[in-house]
Amino acid sequence: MIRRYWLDVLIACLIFAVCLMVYNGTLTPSLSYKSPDGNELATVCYVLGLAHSTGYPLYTWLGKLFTFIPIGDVAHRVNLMSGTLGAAGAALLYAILRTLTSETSDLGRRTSSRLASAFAALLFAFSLTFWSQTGIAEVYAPNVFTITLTVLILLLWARVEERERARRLANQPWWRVWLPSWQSLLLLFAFGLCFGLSLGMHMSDLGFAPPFALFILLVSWRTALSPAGLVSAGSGFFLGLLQFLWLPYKASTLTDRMMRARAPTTLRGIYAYTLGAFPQFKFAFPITAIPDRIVIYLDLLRQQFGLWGIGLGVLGMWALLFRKPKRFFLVVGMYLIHVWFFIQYKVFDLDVFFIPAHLLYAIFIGCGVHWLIERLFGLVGERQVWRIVLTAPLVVVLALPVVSDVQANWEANDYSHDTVINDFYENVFDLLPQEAALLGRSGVFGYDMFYYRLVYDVRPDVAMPHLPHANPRPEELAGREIYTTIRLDSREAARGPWALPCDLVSPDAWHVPVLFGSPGQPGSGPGIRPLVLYHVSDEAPALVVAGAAPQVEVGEGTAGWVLVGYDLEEREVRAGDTLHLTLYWRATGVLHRVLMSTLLESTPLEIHEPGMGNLSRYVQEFHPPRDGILVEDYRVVVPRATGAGTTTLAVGVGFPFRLPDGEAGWEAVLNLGEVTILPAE
Amino acid sequence: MATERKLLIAAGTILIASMLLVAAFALGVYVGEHGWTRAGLTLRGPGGPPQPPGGPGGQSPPGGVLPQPDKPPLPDGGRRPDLVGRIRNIFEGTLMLATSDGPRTVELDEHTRVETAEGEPRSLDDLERGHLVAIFGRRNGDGRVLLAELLVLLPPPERPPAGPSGQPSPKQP
Repeated sequence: MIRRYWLDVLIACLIFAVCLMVYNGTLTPSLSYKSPDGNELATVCYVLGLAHSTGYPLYTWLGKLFTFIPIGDVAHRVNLMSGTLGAAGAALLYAILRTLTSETSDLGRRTSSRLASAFAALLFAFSLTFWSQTGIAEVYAPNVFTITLTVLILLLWARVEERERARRLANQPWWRVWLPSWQSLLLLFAFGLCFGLSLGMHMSDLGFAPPFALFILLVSWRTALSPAGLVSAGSGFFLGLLQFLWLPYKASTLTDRMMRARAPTTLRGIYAYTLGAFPQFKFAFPITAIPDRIVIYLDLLRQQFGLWGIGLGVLGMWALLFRKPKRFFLVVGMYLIHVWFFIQYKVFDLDVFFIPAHLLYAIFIGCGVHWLIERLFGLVGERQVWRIVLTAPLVVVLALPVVSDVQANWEANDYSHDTVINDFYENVFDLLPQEAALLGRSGVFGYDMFYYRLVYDVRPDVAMPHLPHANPRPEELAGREIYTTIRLDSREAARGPWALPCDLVSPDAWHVPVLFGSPGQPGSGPGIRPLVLYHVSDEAPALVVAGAAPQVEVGEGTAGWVLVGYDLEEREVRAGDTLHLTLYWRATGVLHRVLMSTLLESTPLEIHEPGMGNLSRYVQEFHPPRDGILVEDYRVVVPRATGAGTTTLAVGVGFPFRLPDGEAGWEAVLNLGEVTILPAE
Repeated sequence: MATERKLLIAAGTILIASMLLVAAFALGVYVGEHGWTRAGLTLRGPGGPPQPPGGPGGQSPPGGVLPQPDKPPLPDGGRRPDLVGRIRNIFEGTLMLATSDGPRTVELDEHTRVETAEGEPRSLDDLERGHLVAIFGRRNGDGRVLLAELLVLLPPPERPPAGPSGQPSPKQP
């Protein structure tokens, strides 16, 4: 078998290697906000816990295996799983397309099939959205692997079944046609097992059941309805489903308030946690909104493959229909059900849910390209020499869109410098005093912080009372200095799935920012958020003082604020460490609506309002003199990815903006001189 | 050709034709409603709950209001503007902005306030092509369009700092 298909195995391995190399080059080095759930998934894999609905047992177990690879930290290894299984999915897509586009020994046809299959597999591998999921801890890239494996096994079964049945019909007594071969039964079992297991990657794969069933019936209704066939496929599927016993087994480890409310400890609970999860997202649009939703999907499809790719896909549908109508109904059935379900799905990160639909569309594109190449080869007739001569320029022509995709999508999917979370929390744990308490978002969204405790047991002296459960009591904070990454007096703290109890700290407590992480860039991902560490104190900060003697005087201003001067602890800082800055402002004249930002060159290290959220209350309670000086004392993280060398430190004032013509900046920029960035350790 | 195969191809032909028809119909409805713009392409879709300030899962920059009570606070507790962009076109009741995410449409109504960055009131007539503006607003009933509640005219931006020549003076003894 391997000898017969050695070239295909080689090409598939090459596709895997190329994809893995590129994915590894753009892999997130550790935690990330690119996905809202990624930090939870990375942690859950390591501790073998239970992820949010729908549980993802297979993902958890495979992730655990990857955590044993001695590369980077645990989060990096789980990210690597996405890259590895994503690359494997692309290689399997090649194999699927090979089975769909060629079953002949003719050299020319095999060449056209291989060219088209490799082209479509790479086009999908480097499409915008799928690639974005191969560099982070998420389920979508591994899910592509399970889908492609399931479909490939089903197609192999169909090939075996059709071959065997033809032989049996010709040579065997009539009753033998009702008995499937052991190869057929084995493949049916493997298919059922893979399909059942794939639900542990993403529950939406269950929607593929009707087209799978239809395809099996179309290929061989006798086998499908025979007791042996039913038992083979059914027992494999059931065996795959057994993974969901993980849910009740690990239900006690849940910390998220919403997840605990429907903990999978009963049959009803398991249903609510899996098939019944997120009912508010499903079929959430009236029929009048469907046209818009279809156009949203079409636009996402265009982003992956371009208009020419959509056209090739339509061509490929026709080609597949006329060449292999049963297989056409398999692919188009899967495609339509998936698109139909998710155009009515109401989530902000909708694009990633369409990845299986993009995968299926790539199959159509492969079929379309195959048809075109065959027509081209048809022009030169049966002369093998001419076909071989034609192949070289064809490879170049087909490689161009793939290389163009890699170039176009690299920047958007290159997460290799994303150290925002690690930079912030490593400094947080350095900064916290002994026996402090650290609060933040609870549940699934709190794993940017929980990761350090659950995986590396960082600073065990620091209490995180919201980690074991989402409703910590004030008594658990007694005698500790309190720090938090969300303002406990804000609306954000009181609402949303990550909310903490509103009586956890005194309502009169001051929240004084002491450390800023990255402000987050627009488009950086659905989970992005500013990172701020607040010290919670009953004592008011010395926010406005009568006079100040800054280390460096500036005396420049804008928008109603004059920067009197500033203190900078050190002008030399290591990337990944913090700059300790104290700014002294005097309000003059008319105050603009402004935000302020510490800038390294033109990159904002943080963004805040004058007084960091405490000025209004301070003015009302203490009535400082109008000519008083506003003091902003804080540390700000210099990202680990910052290049070493001398650079300019500045303060931006106004609203940050960026325009399509490349213009970007602030209304005003006040220069604070130069700082030297040392390479990260 | 076997009958079964003919039937399958006929059914498949109807299916593909239907898919193309539905896609063309949806595109027609969309273009009729939004024109050749991306205005309706929100992933969450119309009617969704508002996203938290600072983006989904995000939070506002730390802050509340400006210090003096007689000065207008930043809208909605100090959140960032919903849009910052340069005015490309002004139609009756509609602004087209150039933003980092591409062209954006903003609806204006009789309640839309226009102010300078200093908080001085202006009128919609003061808006001109090329102005840099910050929009604070809300999604209208079906969530498709941003309805501007406050439009802040921003002053022309300064360039980013230009290296060592911009060094501040050291403190005089």
